Amino acid sequence: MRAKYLLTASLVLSLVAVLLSLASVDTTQYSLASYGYGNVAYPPQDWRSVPWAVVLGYLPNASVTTAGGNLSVSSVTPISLNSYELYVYQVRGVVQPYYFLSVPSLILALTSSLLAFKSTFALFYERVTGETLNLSGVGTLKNFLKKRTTSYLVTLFISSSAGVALEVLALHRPLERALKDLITMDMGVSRVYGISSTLVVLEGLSFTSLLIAITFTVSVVLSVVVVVYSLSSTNLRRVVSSWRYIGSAIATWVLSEALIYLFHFQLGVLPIGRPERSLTGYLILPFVALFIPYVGILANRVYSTASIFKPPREVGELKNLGKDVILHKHVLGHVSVVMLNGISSAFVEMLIGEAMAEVIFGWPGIGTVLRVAVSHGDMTVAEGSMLSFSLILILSAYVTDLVYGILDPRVRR
Amino acid sequence: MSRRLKFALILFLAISLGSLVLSEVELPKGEPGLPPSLTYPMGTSLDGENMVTLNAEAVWDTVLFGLLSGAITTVITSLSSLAVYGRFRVRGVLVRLADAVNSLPRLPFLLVLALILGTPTGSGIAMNFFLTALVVSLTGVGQFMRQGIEFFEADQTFRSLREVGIVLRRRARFVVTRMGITFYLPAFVDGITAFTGIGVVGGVGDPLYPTLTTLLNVAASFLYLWWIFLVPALFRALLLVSVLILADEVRENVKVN
Repeated sequence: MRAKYLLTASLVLSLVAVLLSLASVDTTQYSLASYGYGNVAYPPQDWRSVPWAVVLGYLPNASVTTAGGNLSVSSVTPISLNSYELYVYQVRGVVQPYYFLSVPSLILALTSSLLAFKSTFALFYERVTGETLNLSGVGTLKNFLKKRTTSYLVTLFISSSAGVALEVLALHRPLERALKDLITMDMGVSRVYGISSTLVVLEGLSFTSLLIAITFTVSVVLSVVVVVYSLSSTNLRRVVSSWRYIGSAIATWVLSEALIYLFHFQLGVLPIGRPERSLTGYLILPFVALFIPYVGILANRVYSTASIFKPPREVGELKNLGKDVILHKHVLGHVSVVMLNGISSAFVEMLIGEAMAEVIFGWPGIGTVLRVAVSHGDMTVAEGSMLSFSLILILSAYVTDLVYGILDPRVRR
Repeated sequence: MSRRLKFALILFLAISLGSLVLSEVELPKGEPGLPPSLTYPMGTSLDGENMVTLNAEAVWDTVLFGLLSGAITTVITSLSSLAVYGRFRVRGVLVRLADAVNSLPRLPFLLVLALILGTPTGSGIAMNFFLTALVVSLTGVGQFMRQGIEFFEADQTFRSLREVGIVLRRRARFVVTRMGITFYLPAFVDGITAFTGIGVVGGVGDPLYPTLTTLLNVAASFLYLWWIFLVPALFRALLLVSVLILADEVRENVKVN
């Protein structure tokens, strides 16, 4: 297969990931009402299951209308009326209707990055050797995936057991209830936001997925370009090989603080916090804070792996092959496959790094959701976040294996 | 001793011991939020504390945290590696246990544990420093155990307590020394990094033991005062870089027979 087709496919997938995450953070006005007769007005039964955009700070408003007029209601709770009468209880607010698209967006972002990683290497390979990428091989993908599925089911079982154990021990819930909550992915009502914890976590995840969909693929592609050029540039090679130290010194969150100081407080050119009108301005600083360290981290890992595969100089002479051919066919060819698993762990690391950056920038992603939850003792949201992270971890490893199986026929044996 | 090792060792000792000495010295307090000057070389904090004292205390507490979590992790890893010589299927059980711990997403898992063991304050979680070190080490030990177990293939099994004693006498020093060299410093860095993670995301910290993460966490709300976040960030960077270089150099240059 031609590398340019694979690269185009990865770019299309990446674009779809961004569009899905943009849809997932989209908000709109929504209202629901209930009516009845009595001396207590009850809110609509399922109002807590509506995806109110609480992580953006839009808590739902409530109003009760009776024959006597409108009653002011400060929060969505049952309201005592003066006498038995007919009432209409209305809950209004801003909702995030497509919040559920955050998970497919994250998985697509990872898939596109894996393809982009392989295809960028393949593009350089084609330029140097004139050969195209060979994706045919022995063994079936079905059998390969069957083996991997069993392994991931075990991991899923372990994570779920930890979730159930925590629910029983920390929330003092009966075992049957904990199991039911896990199966239905319903962790209960958030103590801080008052709506379903699962909704809160997924709403936060929408903003996280938007940032990661934009940042991750770009970081992956650029890291490959940096590695390829660093092999022929001494200065660049020095920076890449010592990035393990530089990356620890300039952690994402430290860089975030420095960027805020410079661009927000000193120059006053870029906003931070919850996005109000246009998303673009709010995205720039978190993007830079994630992008710079991760290009370095990824490039350093790829470069270190390339060093392992570098054959002695005599091999080229014996096989009568040029330096570039040896490099692209025998070194980077192996690296582009071996490092696919590394991309998956880098993805999970970026999620953690992003959680930290989100807290510093006040970006309403999963990091901020977690911060608010743990500061206020909201165990259901904290636990929901842990289970979501587990699920993403397992799904991303599974997707990586799938892509690995397609791109490297040897592993299917 | 290589030049890099010497450089890293001197840097690490200078930062650690310097901060220990400075944290004990009484330095003058001043007006809140003063920028660096001759009287206050690192400025003053938002409550007028001398930032030299605050940074020194924070650096030392961070080093202490790293030393503690490095020690806990290395001891557990060494014990699990010794257990590999057991007659029962200890190796298999330990590998599965390590895999189980590794399969949990560490940061959210740590935050859930902090929520159970600590006290939410509205802006973070107050949690005992030593308990935090223990929890951080226990959640990170899986990755080291996995590597530690792979190091030593079980070449014999115990049949009696006498044999346990013989094996321990013969192998314990080797196992512990090798584990110490291979894992102590990486576990030191891992402990600090994980603590930073829960500190930044969850605001987890002990008010009695303010670390560099605590300072940076507080600074996150006052980023217009550069000396509040830039100086601790610089110390954190120097400390981590010196330990990382030390770890690499020790692993490459010190051989255990």
